[in-house]
Amino acid sequence: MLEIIGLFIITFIANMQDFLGSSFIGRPLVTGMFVGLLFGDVTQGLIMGATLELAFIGLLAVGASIPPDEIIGGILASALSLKHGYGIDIALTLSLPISVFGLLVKNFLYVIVFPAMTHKADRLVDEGKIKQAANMNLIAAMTRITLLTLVTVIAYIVGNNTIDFILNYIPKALINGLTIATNILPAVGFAMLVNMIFSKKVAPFFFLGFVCVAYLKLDMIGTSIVGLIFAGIMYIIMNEINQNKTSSVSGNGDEYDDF
Amino acid sequence: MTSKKIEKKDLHSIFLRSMHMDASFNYERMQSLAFSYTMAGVLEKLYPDIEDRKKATKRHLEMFNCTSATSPFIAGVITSMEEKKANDPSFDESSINTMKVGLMGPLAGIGDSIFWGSLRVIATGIGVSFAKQGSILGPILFLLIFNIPNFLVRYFGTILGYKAGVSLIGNMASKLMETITYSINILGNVVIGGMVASMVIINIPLKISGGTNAQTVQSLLDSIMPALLPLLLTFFISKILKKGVKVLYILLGIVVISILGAVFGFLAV
Repeated sequence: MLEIIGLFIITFIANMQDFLGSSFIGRPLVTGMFVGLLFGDVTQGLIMGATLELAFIGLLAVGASIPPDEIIGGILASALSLKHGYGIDIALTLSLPISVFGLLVKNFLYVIVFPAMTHKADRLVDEGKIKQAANMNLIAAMTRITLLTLVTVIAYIVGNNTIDFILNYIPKALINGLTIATNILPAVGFAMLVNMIFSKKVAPFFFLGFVCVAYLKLDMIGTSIVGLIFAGIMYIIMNEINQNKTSSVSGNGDEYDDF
Repeated sequence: MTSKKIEKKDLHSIFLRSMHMDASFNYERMQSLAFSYTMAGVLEKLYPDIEDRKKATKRHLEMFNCTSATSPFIAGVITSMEEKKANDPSFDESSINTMKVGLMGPLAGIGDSIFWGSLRVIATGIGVSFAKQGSILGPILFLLIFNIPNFLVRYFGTILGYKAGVSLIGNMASKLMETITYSINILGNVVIGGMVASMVIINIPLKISGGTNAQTVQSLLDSIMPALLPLLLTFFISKILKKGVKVLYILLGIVVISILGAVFGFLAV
């Protein structure tokens, strides 16, 4: 029982990393130590955490792609290893189903639940309940933290076979479908931004950015630099035009002196 | 009219609230809930009038996507613009979101490469080498090496962002402001155009003809124009949004089509 309570606390705090300045407190390297403490072997926990960290490295979220969940995968793998004395390979293999399941839960939240909460926030603002709208952020965060913690602890209790069993019953198409949706859904957010900042006056620059990435394969820094250069050029041109306008109005045709 | 002034404690509120920047991430508007939460305290102070505050909050519920560590800088700049808007109703409010989008691209690029790229690799490398020998210094050094720069950039980013914003819009004739707004709008559009091409991915794996190395619909589309479908879809959604179609229906439509696509194989990851 003590193990389960301890694991719950470790997982809960680990999952708060994105709530606390994206500070990496949930990485296997850190949680390994605490899981080791819980099972009475800190040294082994540290070694386990280091090995798992290397296994999960490169799976970190960059941009909009979300890898298998290393927070719950890392905790579960080190807990299983320390409890049953499994080697690292077996522990990692055993933690994979739960990492995949964690990803499924996350995708479900990121594709359906949190967007719905964002729409709820929209409505609350319309109704003038601005405080509640801001609090949707906290509700979303706590939902995610609690849900992922429960998933980890339950997976630990019911054992790995059960998770595998459940995963087999979830249609592969649903899992893939949600992942496909994660790739398409950002179009909605961009469309809303387009409606706000896109106009005929700046249309060429939108397509400039598009071409930079689609054809020239520039990354975001390169594309932004191109954007800054064009913004600078247009600033100079517009400034020049404005100055000419004012001088032609107030200067009584001074600019014709050259002729 | 009394002028509303941002004080140090308001910037501290931005700094603290921005800790949640990744906490409510989603694929539709990414970090918008977190960004509006970050701004909520300041907006409450700046806009006593509920209608003004509604408008301001809506602005920040629009899509936002940036590295967590560099986001407070953007929030700082935006705070200075909201302050300006609160004291000068003639200030062009569309420039606020344009600025946000314009900063999002470069700061996400720099932030990702510094924090996710370099710093994380250094911290992990040192942390792992200690932890592998069973030393408790492993996790401690890992957290310190990553988080000291992380929190410094967050804190001073907020303050510097605000100061940069004030000096940009503060001493400026209105005509020049219009030109600057236009330039920022250009940057914002370049960034959005680039992000549509890189962050929206549609893949149709259907084969056109038989055989093992047959051309797929996707490779055909790519040969016409890379990222053609994401571009078309973005403008299609923009159009139906203007016609008043609810975002929720669009969201559900995309989810349903994605799952059907996975079932029947006309869409792939």
